[in-house]
Amino acid sequence: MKRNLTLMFILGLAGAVWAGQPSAQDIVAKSDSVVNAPKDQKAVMKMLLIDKKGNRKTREAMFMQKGDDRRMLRFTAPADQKGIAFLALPGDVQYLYMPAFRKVRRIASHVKNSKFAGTDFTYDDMSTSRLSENYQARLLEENDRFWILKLVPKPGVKKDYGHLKLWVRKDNYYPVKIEFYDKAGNLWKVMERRQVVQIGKYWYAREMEMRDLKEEHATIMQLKDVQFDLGLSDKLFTRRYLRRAR
Amino acid sequence: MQRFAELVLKFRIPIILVTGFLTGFFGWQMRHLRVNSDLITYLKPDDPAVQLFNRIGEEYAGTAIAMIGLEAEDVFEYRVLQTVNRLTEAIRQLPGVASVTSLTDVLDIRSVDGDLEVGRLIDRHAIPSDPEELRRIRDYALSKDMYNGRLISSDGRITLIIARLQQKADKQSLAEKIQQVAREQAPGYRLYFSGLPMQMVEINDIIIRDMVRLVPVVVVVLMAMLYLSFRMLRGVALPLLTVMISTVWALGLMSLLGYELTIISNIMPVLLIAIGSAYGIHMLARYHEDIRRARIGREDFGGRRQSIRRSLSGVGVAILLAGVTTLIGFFSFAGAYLTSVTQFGVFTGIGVAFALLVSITFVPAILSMLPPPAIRQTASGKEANLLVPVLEWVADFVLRRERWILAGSGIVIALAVLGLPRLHREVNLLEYFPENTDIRRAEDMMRTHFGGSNPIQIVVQGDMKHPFVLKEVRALEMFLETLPDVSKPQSVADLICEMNRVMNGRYTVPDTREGVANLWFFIEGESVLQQMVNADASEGVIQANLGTMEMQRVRRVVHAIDQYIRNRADTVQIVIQRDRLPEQLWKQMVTEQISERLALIAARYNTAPPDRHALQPVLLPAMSRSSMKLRPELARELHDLLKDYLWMEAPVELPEAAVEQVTKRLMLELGDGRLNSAAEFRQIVTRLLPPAVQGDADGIAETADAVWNMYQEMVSRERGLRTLERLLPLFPEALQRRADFRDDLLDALWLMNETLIAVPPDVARRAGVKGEEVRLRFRQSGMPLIYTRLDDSLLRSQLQSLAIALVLVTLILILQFRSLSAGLIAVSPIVLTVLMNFALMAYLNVPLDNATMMIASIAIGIGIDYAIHFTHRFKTELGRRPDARQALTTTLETTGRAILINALSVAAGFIILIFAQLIPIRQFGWLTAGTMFFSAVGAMTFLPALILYSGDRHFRNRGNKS
Repeated sequence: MKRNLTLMFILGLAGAVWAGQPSAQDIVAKSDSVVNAPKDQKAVMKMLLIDKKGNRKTREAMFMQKGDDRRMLRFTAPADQKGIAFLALPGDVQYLYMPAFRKVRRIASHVKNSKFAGTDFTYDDMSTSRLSENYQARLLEENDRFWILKLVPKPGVKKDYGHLKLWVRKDNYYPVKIEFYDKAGNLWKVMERRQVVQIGKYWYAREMEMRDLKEEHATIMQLKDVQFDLGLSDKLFTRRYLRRAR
Repeated sequence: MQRFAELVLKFRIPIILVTGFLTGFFGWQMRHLRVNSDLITYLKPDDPAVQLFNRIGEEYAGTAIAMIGLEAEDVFEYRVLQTVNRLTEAIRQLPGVASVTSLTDVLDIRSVDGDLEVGRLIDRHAIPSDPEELRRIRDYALSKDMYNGRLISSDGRITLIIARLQQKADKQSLAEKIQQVAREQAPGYRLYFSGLPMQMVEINDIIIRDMVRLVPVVVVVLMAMLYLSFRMLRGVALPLLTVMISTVWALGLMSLLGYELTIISNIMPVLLIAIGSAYGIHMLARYHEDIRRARIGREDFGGRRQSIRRSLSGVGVAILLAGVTTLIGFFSFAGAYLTSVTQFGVFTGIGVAFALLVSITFVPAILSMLPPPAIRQTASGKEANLLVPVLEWVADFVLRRERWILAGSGIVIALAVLGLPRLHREVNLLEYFPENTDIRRAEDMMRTHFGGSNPIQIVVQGDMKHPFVLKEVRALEMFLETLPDVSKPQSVADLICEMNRVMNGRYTVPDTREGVANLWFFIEGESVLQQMVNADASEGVIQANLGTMEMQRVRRVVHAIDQYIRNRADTVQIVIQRDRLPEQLWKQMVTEQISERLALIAARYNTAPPDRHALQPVLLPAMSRSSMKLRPELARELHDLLKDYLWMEAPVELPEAAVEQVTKRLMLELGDGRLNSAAEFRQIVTRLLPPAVQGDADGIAETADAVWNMYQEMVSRERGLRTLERLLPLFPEALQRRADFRDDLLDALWLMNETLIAVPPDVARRAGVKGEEVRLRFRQSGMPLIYTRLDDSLLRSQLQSLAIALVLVTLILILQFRSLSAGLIAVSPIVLTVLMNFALMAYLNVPLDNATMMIASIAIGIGIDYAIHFTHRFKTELGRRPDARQALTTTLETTGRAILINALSVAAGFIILIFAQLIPIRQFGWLTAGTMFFSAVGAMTFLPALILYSGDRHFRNRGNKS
């Protein structure tokens, strides 16, 4: 089965090559679906926060995702943040649960570009995203291994970034690196996906690093105990479940 | 000295060449010399207070804050906000800038539809242009303490852009760059530059402008005076050359050794002009005198070389002595608290030494190359000069009326001593600047609209995520607010309180660690946090604004904070679950804590705190009831909460139709306030829920608990409101109506509702209850503290160096004359001068500050020269003829002349400084002129009178030969 899939994949790729160069937008769309391919997934997420002096802080969370638009994160460490939970739902709806006050709080759309839990990821970055929906892509260059694309926000899409530069692996369409540029065109953040491996039919990166060059701060996210296609229920991605600290 | 004179003459050409070469060399070195006006670098780095200050600078970028005030018709206009944003971004790009805060980049904590939201006040990527939206933002920003008076003036016309600079940055040039960027990016706006780095730029500019403008005038006046006195070019050129050469050498050496000029040592060139010129003048005067005498007496003066040798050996010792004593005066500054003062002392001393060296080598060497001067003489054989008749008259008067003079001096001394208590110490850095300067305007604006520009910092060492550490921080902040001139204390505790206010309706620190942590989650990683706590939150900084630079007031604040830290801040507390304390003790402790809090609130609103005894009956009734009937608005709120909870969040899923019904019935049960426990309520909930969900026992229990908790929250609020109603009548009526006052009281009363309480260790011990021990330590820091330290130590070091100089100078004179009494007599005019200087300041209301303090040292340095030259000459003359009066007459007419020339020319030069911009320089100018005048007058009237009165025997025969 696995071999078959790989074969199909390669054939597909070959087909694409044979059919001529895939369009830039196709590459991004394809890479979006590679990243969001699993029906659902569950993992332990470890976040490593490194400031400019080299101080490190760690966070640990239980991570669940269903499809490409539901995501839940429940902190398990450090102790005083235990139980804080984050829920991202379709339509840009996000919630945060604060166990100390037993309150669920909705995150308004305009704070989505603020940092999530001290990481270099914004709330926006933390919810699932399809780059192809928000950005217009143009192929900048390609080499043996990568397509390198320039992504500009589509008209009407409000983003903090002026444009992105995206590296997509040619062998599996996995997006391994994104450079985020500010509106003045200065390089601002760099995201890298590392240790890209395959489990079953799905590709995923064990480690993801986001570096904020302006603030000289970095966040490394590591995924452990990754499981795919568990048949997670929709009920797990609700306010009701968010409150039920487990 | 004879031999030295021979040597000088023998090697006159090498001397001139070497002097020329050295001057060229040091002049070339001077190109590296720069002015360092960063006050912080002047401080002694091993002082713990300075170390703390520097550490705050490094770790929190909290000590060097440059502020730009931008004024517009209305700040909340698209165009203005765009400008603010452009400026903010441009400044952020400058290397050395740690962070920038402005309206377009500031943390905002607000409530949106009842939800806590932490974001930016204005999204810098999407600055609103809709007037409606802008007005809304304006109203909102002005309504919040976080912005009003911190980032915008309350009339909405001025906004601040606050740049924190890195500790290691070159703050002055960075501040200059910021100003430049501001002018480029915000043309057409009225700009204010404030904060220490900006002040440095301004001070430096003004000093340099003053120096560049005035020093040439000083030199010209000095030249004119010298010309009038000597009536020949060399009389002008040689003293001036001496000063210039020695100044170039001293500054060149400074640069060579890697030192920088400071705000204090900036004055060096001017000082050297005052002091250094004397040596050249005396050398020259003596030379002329010798030549003239030789001509009058028709003696063979044996050519130029011979007479130069004679002059040099005659006056050389006096010059040397005068120089060495002056040197001591300046070297005595070494070891001062401020490294810059030490440097100033040492290098001015070295400059004096150079002047001395040049006067007795280079000057005679040059003189020996020049033809002997043609000295115009009157018919009587005296030199034709304005000064001569004056001197003769003085000599005549002094020598006949010595008792009058002494009596007069006695009266003057008495008056001076009487005036001394009026001498006041006052340092107000701001008042150094005339009112029309930019810096004054900026500081006035800052004080009026933003409570001042001087940050006070208090370091908190302790777990900054611990609620009871944060509560102590809040208490200290409330205390700070009650102090005069202090405003806007800010720390992470305020952010936590603000978030808690939005989330739970009270400006308090939650009492649980989780509560703090949950709120902290929202600001985690925000750059503002880096200014408030360190990386592992084991230390934090409280910052407040100080609205005065007046040292007396600064000192009062610094002292009050120290007192608070020492006496009132709890450094060790035991945190205990409230139900583990005996009920009575708990009530007593809570009452005490509320009472303390109320006292702080009362002080903040300038009213008397309620009496402790009156407080008990107010607080006790509602304190311990766990269930209460809710007032309608609270009941309504609870109803809505319950409904939303049951619909969206409760673990038991009710059909939509049932939600409203269950809510109503729960409200009915809770409404009358008779339920007393969660367990009781749980049974009721179980009964109430529809059969469909009955199976889920866990879910039901969880639901019941959650609802009970919501209810308890409401009961707590009810408790606060009921107590508030009883508490308000204890305050003046006008206050009772103020919403902010009521809110503050409610926050204080919230202590009744907390489940944890902190008590002093002995209370816990006596009650036999164990709890969590919480430790913290406050340490004051910040520029105000440093100012007071600086001020104390400057005064101390100056008084100390004054004393050292006086003692050493006296010793040297005693040794020189080999007579105690002669030494004391010689030193007396200086003591008189110093006294006069202080008396003058006392009567003319000139405060004793760091600049005017320095004049006393100059008085010694210069006054001693006069006394030495005078007594030395007198002693020599006494060796020639036995009559003291005759010896004095000659001394007055010869050396006296040189003294007068010196005093008048330097005084005339210094008086020019009254045209300076910087007020201390003005005062310094005329006071120095006065001092010159007094020391000359003292040396020429009081001193001879004293010698005559006390008899000349002290000066006879015992001294070594010159």
